[in-house]
Amino acid sequence: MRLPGLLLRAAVLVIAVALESSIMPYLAPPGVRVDLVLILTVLTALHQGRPGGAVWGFGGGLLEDLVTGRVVGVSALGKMTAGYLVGAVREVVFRDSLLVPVVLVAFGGTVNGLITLALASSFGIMGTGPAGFIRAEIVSVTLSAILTPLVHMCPIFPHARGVSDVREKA
Amino acid sequence: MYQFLSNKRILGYIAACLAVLSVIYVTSRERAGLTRWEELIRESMRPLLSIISDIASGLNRSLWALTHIGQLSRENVALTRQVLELKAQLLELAEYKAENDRLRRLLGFREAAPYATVAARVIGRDPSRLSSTLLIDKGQKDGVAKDMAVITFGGLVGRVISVTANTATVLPVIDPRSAVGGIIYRTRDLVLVEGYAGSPGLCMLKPLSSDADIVAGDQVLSSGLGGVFPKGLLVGRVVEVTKGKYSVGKVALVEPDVDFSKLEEVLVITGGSAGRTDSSRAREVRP
Repeated sequence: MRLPGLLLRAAVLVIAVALESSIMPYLAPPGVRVDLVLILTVLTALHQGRPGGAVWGFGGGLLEDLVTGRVVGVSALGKMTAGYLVGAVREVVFRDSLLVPVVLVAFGGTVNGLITLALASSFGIMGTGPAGFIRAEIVSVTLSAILTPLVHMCPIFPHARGVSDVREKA
Repeated sequence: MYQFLSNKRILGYIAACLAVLSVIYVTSRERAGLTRWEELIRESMRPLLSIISDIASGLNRSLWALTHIGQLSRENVALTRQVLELKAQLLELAEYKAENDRLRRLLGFREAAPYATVAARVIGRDPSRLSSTLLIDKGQKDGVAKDMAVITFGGLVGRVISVTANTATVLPVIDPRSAVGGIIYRTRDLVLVEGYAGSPGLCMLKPLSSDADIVAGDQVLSSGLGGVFPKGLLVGRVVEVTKGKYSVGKVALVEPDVDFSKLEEVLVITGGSAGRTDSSRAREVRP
């Protein structure tokens, strides 16, 4: 990726984190949010594959952790894994359809949620009960998935190439 | 298995996971403070967060206002009514406070005054501007009689010119029909203080002797001559001294210390003097 594109996406990521931590509390009940960083991670993974997905997931998650004051690394690990897996999955299941990013965001969100739950439980950093967390995550992932097409239409995400193109390149 | 582990990407991912897990372990513990990097990132994000948060907050308020417009409208009507009621109450309280202050001063003056007095409230004024008489709410039933002197903490107000069972009319010293025997406190010169039609609110001072020494600022007290006004009540202060008619003698304008336009409570002197001296009265009356 060229430097301007890289910087543009970095800026978008920063703004996404800022929006998430400042606007979402006004718009949704506690715990529920549109996970913009996850959407960006999944779309990047769709566009760039496993490495891009993992790197952007890690970067976005880490920024989220640092800005929101969470335990550093929880979101980073969850989103990095989500980005990596989505990047791996897209090489197998990618179809030129608007529904694919939606489904993959739901998939990535589920992965991220499960990892976050596992880490939070393991390290004793759960701020709420597991049931409440899971309910909020289900709503958040659903909302994020529904809003994915809007973000996908953003010019910074040129439509991912088809499987054939990827294979040709490989 | 070996092939799986030889995949550099997978190895890199596992390494990254382990690194992140160790970071999570470290940062999930109680720490003395944030690291420099954490501080740097959080501080650099602060302006952006602040701007977006302000915008979000504004939007949220606007959105809330839009969705609650009916409720807001009702609340607005209720609050406006409440504000008006509270303003009215506030005015009423201010009124009570001012009245309280005046009555306290009057009470203080009454206790210090060597006369038997009846406190009265000014309940009416002549609206025609033809005269400056005052109507007070005390009359014969309260012991008020014609030609009784009326005073306040500022000094002499006037005398009662008519009385009913429960009211009395007071002719103020500033009314052109009024005349009070006075004395210049500084020089003891006898004077006559009359209401002055030429300048409402002021009195005309006429010395009884042509060589009277009168200067601006002199205090004028009642002389007690004539039998209506007790001796030693402050009538006013000389504000201007001019030559008399045909340049004979001098006359002066006296400004009473009493603000007649704002007079609300007075004391009617119903009993005699305890024999105070002019100087002691002047010192007491002097504000």
